[in-house]
Amino acid sequence: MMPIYLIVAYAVFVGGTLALACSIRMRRRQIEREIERLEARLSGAEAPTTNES
Amino acid sequence: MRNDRLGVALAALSALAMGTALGMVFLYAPREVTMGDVQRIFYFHVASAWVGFFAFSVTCLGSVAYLARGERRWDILALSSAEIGTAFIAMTVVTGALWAKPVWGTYWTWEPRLTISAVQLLIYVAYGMLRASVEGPERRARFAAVYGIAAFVTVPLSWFAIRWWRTIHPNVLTGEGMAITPRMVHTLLVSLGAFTLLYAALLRQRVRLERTADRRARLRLRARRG
Repeated sequence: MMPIYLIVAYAVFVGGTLALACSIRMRRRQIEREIERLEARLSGAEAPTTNES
Repeated sequence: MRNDRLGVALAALSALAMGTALGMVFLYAPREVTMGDVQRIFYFHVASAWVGFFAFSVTCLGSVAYLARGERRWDILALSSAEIGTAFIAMTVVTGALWAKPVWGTYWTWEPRLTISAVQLLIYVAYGMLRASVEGPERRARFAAVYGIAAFVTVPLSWFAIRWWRTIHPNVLTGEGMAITPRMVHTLLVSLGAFTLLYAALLRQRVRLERTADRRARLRLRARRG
């Protein structure tokens, strides 16, 4: 049987790496969503000018 | 990962390499005579420390390049690499303690290598805190670059700690404190390769995150002006 220390150590490696990868991905998703909102706001602000013509 | 073929390829390759390394650690590498199965921590522990050292070296080089050229991309490289290095050094310290308990009878002892590793981890955590506390992107990048170069001193210090001072930490290269067989060497080399690929995949994603954040900053500025 594998010692508990070995199992916990490999869980730390796998969990730690996955946590880092997910954290990067989630932060990027969050920023992308904010970019979409900002772009929608900016295009909304510019829209009346184009509609007037 | 839209339109990022290299990113997808790196992620797939690193996943494959990590799977192979895990398989070799548990199925190919022999059981060490004195420590038993717990010695298997060593393969990923060393590979994780290697990635930490490599990542901090990239941070140092990126910092030097930023101070020399003043281009944002070097600052992005330095900060992305520092974040990944910090995560891997943290894993190295935690798994080292898990290995030490059954082998040394204690999770922690204030011997040179362990002490320097703990200090190194705190120094790079402080790097992130410094970045968060300085106002102004250029000032922040300049401060972080100087800090990133100074912090690099912990890498050679940690590497040579087991050679310069009396320590109980095993020396992987000389095999001192641990019997190394060819199968163990193969497993270690595959683990080192797998972790290096993983670093490259994570670095690419982290750099993309920072570029996306820059795009958001430009849009926020436009929205404020508009």
